[in-house]
Amino acid sequence: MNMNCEKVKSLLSAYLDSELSSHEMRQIRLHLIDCETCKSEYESLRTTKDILGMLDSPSLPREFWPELRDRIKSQPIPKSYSNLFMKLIIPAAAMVILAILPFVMATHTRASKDFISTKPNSIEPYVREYIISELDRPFSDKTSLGFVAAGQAVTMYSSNLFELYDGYSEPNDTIPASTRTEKQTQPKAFQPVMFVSPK
Amino acid sequence: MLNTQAIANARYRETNIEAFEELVRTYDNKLYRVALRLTGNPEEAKDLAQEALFRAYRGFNKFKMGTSFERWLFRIASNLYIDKLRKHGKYRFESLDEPIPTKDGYVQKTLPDLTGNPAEIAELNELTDKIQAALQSLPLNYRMAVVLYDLEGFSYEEISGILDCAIGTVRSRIHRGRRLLRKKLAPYVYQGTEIGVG
Repeated sequence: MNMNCEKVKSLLSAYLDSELSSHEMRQIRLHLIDCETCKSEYESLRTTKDILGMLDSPSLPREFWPELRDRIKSQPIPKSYSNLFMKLIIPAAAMVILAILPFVMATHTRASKDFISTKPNSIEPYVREYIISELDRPFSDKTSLGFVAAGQAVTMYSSNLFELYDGYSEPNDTIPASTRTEKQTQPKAFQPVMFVSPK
Repeated sequence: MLNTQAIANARYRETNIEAFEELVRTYDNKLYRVALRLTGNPEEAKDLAQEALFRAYRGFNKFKMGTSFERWLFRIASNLYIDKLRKHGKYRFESLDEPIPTKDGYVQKTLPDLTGNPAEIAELNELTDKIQAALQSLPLNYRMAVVLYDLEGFSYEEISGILDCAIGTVRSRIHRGRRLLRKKLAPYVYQGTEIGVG
C-alpha cells in the first residue's frame, strides 16, 4: 500500500535519520521521486538539520573540574551503615551459622540419643524406639521429637504420681498423710496421652 | 561504550575522585555542550553539568552494571534540568497551537518569528546566536530531543532511554522540533546556498 503525502510528511525526519524500517524507507524514497511537494519538504528539513550542525562546539570551562573537585571533597558521601551491614555483617553471620550448624545438629542428636538411652525407664519402650529411629533420619524434626520425649516422660511421671496418690493404692511412706488432698481419693482414671503413633 | 572494567574499578574505588573523574572524562564535554544548548547560558550550563556529575558521583552505587553509563549520566542531567524548570515554573508540556488562558479570556500564543524582518536578522552578530535563539524558543521536550540527536548524535533508542519515553515519541518530538526550527530559521533554510548550507 502506498503512503499518502500526509503520512510521508510525518515520517520525513525519521527518513532523513534512517530510523525507519527498510520497507518504510523504500516507500518514502519512491514517493519522493514522484512528489515535488514532499521532496521540497524533505529538502527543507535536511537543510534545517544541516544548519544545526553549524553550531560551534564549546569546550569545558577551565574552572569546571577544579570547582567540581572542591565540591565533591567538601561534601563527602555519607557512610551508609545499612550498606555496610547488608554487604558485610549479614553474610559473615550467615557463614558462621552455616559452619557451626552441622556440629550443633550432630551434638544435639547424640545428646538426645544419650538422654533416651540413659533414661530407659522414663519413657515407654515403643516411644523410645520411635524417637531413636527418627533421630537417625537426617531430616527428622528434632524439636518435635524432643516434645514427644518430654511429653511422654511427663505423662509417665504424672501417672506415677497419680499412682502414688491413688486411693486404691497403698499410701507412700514418703508422703505424710497430713499433706494428702482430695485428689488422693480419686479412682485410677488417668490414661497417658499419646503424642505420636508407635512405630 | 565505556570500558566495563573501568566502571568496575571505579565502583570499587567509588570514593576516589580521581577514578570517577577518569570515568566521566569521556563525557564531560558532551554533557556541557548539551547543557549549554538546553539552557542557552554558559554559566547555567556549567552549573547543570557540574550538578549532574556531582549527583552521578554520589549516586554511583545506583548505576546498574551492564547498562549504558552514558545514558544514565545524561538522564540525570535531563531530569535535573526538567526539575529546575519546574521549580521556576518555566516548564510545561504544551502544545504550540493551544491558546493561553488569561483573565480576559483565551489568547493565541505567538512565538518569536525570525522570518519577519530579514534586516533585523542580519543585525544579529553570529549565526550560532540565531540558531541558539531558535533552539531556546522550542518547547523543552522538542529541544531536548533535537539537541540529543542533531547536535550530539544519540540514536532514537538512546534518546528514548535518556528521556524515558517511547521511540515513537522521540521520532515525533524530533520531527516537530525540526519543523519549528525550520520556521524560525526560514531565511537560512530557504536560502541555504547563500550561507553555504544545503
